[in-house]
Amino acid sequence: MKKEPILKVENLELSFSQYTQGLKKRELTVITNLDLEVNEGEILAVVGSSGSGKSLLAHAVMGILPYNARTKGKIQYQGRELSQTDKERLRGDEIVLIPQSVNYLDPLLKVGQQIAISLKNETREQQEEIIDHILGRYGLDPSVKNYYPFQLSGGMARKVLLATALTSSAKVIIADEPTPGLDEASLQEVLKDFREIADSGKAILMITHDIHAALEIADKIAIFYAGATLELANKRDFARGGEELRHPYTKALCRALPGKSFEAIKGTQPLSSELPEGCLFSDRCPICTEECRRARPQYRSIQGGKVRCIHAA
Amino acid sequence: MRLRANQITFGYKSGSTVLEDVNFTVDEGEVVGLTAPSGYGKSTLAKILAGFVKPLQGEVCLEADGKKLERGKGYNPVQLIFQHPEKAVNPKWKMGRVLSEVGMPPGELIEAAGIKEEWMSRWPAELSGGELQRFCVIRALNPKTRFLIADEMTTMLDAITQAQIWKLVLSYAEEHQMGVVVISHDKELVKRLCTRVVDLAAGMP
Repeated sequence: MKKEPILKVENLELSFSQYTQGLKKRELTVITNLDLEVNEGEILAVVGSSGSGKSLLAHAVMGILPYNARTKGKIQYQGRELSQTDKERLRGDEIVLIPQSVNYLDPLLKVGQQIAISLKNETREQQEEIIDHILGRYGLDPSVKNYYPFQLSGGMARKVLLATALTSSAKVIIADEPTPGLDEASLQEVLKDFREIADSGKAILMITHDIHAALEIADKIAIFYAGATLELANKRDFARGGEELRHPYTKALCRALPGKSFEAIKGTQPLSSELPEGCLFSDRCPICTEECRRARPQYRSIQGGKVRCIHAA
Repeated sequence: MRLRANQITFGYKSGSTVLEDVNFTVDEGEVVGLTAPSGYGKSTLAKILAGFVKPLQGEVCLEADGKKLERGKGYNPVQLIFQHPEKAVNPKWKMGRVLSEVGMPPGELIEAAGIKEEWMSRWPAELSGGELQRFCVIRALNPKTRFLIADEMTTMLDAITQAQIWKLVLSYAEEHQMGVVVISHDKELVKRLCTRVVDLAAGMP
């Protein structure tokens, strides 16, 4: 029997209602067809360009979207659909978020207290010990726990955010861009930690645009574009020139890497106010046909992965 | 023409020294990488090279045929591009005005950057980071720009946009013999772009 994924997002759609001019209201759809699932013991990397809806996905799962957002589709945790009350109950305990911006640290709380928030079941002494240990692991002095966030550099603040989430006993960790601003040594340490945590049976959703980091530790890679999942790929598909990849966008993305052939394709990701009716990638796609422009392709399984393209075989 | 930084020292009042006796040169038409772990003063050096920040000791000068050029007022021949384009444009100006602040770039350049006509009438908040960065880049590609300093210019962008923007900058630099300094954590990118790489961490205590 196939194991049920711990977190599953199915056909998520997200829109914001906005006032354009005066009292004219419009509905702006930013996420159209988002699908993903992550199993226990697995790291799923979510890659895609800025504005493709990566962070919004994280916020939708945590239930921290702004009031004018509306969602459709399903978000399931352990096989059960999540309501807003469920999300509020689970977040911080079973599902944690490592936010993208270091501004998410509480400015009035010392670093140590901040990390201790996620250590609810431990005694005072155990907390101290764990905090010292995790700070030391990222090359931070134990005295850092008495600092306020404004006394930290960007890289240090990033490490504190990571420490807060990694010490918790959550089952699902959503890391939103955990790597920018980290130097090489700390980056390797963080990636290693992610892998260890996943191997201990937790699920990690790693949102990033650093494909190299993603390829280093992830089991699977979901590719987002203009608010939709275009492909679910395996790590080995990116090997060499990426011939094994299924979607033309992912192939182009792979070829554009500085370590590969650094080729660029023309055009830009469509704005959410002017999404095409057919395939979201159709206006930049080298193999686009009439049929692609007519309707959004279905998300289908192919060669151990998934793809939203009618030409993939 | 050459951009030269001579024995630059920089630090803060608290006594911490960021840069100590740093020498750095870029020739016209040259693409030089500048790397170091975070906190080694890469961005500080970039700002000093562009003249935004004055060093405690040492000087930055432009030289031609071994002679120092006067750096007067007006257009700065050393242009700096930052990591976050949304912080580098006036949020209350539409993109057309942002772009033409020092004269509208030629049409071919706008087209080569993949900027669409209709973006000109948009507000910065209505464009994504990748789209904004295209504006910031071609805004700096003025004939009077002799050196371009790209401080993590494409770090926040996806690989395709990164390749697009760098292709444009490199071909422009070659054509106009503009010098480029690439500051990045991405080793592969630096290897791909640069003819020479300077490691700030080497030779520092």
